[in-house]
Amino acid sequence: MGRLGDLRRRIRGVRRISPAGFLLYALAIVIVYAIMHALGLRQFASMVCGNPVSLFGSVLLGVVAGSLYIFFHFAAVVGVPILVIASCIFALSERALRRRKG
Amino acid sequence: MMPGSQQAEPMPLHKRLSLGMLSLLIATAIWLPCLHLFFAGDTAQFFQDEGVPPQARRLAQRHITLWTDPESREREIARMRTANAEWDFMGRTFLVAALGNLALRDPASRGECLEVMDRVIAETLRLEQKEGLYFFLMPYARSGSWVEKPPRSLFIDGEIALMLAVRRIVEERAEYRTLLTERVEIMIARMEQSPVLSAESYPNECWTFCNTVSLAAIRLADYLDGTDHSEFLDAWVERAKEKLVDPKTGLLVSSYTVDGLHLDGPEGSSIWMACHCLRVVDGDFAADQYRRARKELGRTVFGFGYAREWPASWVNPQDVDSGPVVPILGASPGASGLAFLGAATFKDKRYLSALLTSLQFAGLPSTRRGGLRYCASNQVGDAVLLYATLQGPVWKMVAEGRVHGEAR
Repeated sequence: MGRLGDLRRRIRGVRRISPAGFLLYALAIVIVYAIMHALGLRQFASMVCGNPVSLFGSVLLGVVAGSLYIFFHFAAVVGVPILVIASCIFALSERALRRRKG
Repeated sequence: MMPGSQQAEPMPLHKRLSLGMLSLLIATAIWLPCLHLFFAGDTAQFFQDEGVPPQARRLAQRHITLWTDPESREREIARMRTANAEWDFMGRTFLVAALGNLALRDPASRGECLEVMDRVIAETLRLEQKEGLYFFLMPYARSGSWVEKPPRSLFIDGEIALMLAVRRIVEERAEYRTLLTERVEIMIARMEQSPVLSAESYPNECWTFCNTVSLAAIRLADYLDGTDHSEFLDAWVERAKEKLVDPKTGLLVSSYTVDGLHLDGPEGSSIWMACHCLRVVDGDFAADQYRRARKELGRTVFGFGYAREWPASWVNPQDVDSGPVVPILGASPGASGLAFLGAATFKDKRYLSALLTSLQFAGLPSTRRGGLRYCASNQVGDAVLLYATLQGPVWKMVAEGRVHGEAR
């Protein structure tokens, strides 16, 4: 619990608009996408071509699951690398600015 | 210490925001042009001039499993029919056409292919006879008035004729000969009633897709039975050049009335298939249409290929054929799927490769029990792709005038 609490405190302490913040966003997307993938939500993506699959007997739930999966798929393959690269650029720029000041 | 944590020397929010936005912009400019490299596969996995490409075999395996497992087939067809009954029917046509080509590419799989082809054809004919004309049509077919009487859809006749012909090209089957001859005679009789030599698929709606499929089926029947409808086929092409071409793009329009009045302009979901079918009717006209379609509708952005449903000069709302169109780019899943068929027919390797990259990126491939499917697609979409990967041998035999591998 101590280590987990410490990790939570450190995560809470990270500024949202910062290199570490960008990395945290990327990590969160990857985790959510991995969970969705492991749960087999990929099969619900056929709603994109007008063929929704029911989830627990509900077409609406299937559409929601498919839409979320597709959103996180594109977030993972497009957004995550951008966030990671941006985080590096951000960190390097910050360092350069501080050096100039210091 | 993590960069950006609160222990670090604080930087004003407006500076962090500007720096963050700038970093994101630069990162986007770096990543987007590189993205396609991670999805670009080996085109030979899907497309080869001879033999069976490995991924095509996996796609075929999934379809064969569907047609040998009644439960999964029912489930898949029921899902498609709730959206569009046409897809159920077209999925059958593309599958039979694909399996015909697979059987010619790989003689070892011929028995299995013929078995599935016969099952699909028998089931389709049974449903047509039992449920009637409207079973495979969209509901609006009942609301209008058919010009040619009695009502009959060239959509159904043309594709059934094509299925029968492809099956007979792989291996002759006596009862299919009569069925094909009857169907061809009916199609030609109805097409000849129209000043543009076209028959209706829906009440007073002729579709280029259906008419060109029918022309290909007639050509295949000529090849099989030694009949000669070349005069009719040539007349259709001449009439089409004169009356059915969009003046701005030179592309065949997608739908028109029996009298030849244009209803819709050129559409990606029609033209690629039309190019493919016209290839065995008039190769030069087909190649010209493909070049124009490629210019007007085919696009490649950052290494990703796609097709627009409409040329820039024609604006239409998205519909069941186009699928959900991606804003700004105008990319249509329906048109992009059929673009594979056009590109494969005309061996446009660069465009094929770009389309494949998009498919791997956005199609969400899934492999299970040796079969391949695309989760963002459906049975008809996968069947179109399967046919695109395998097409060639049937058209080639017809073009060269060979029967079962031997000169006529």
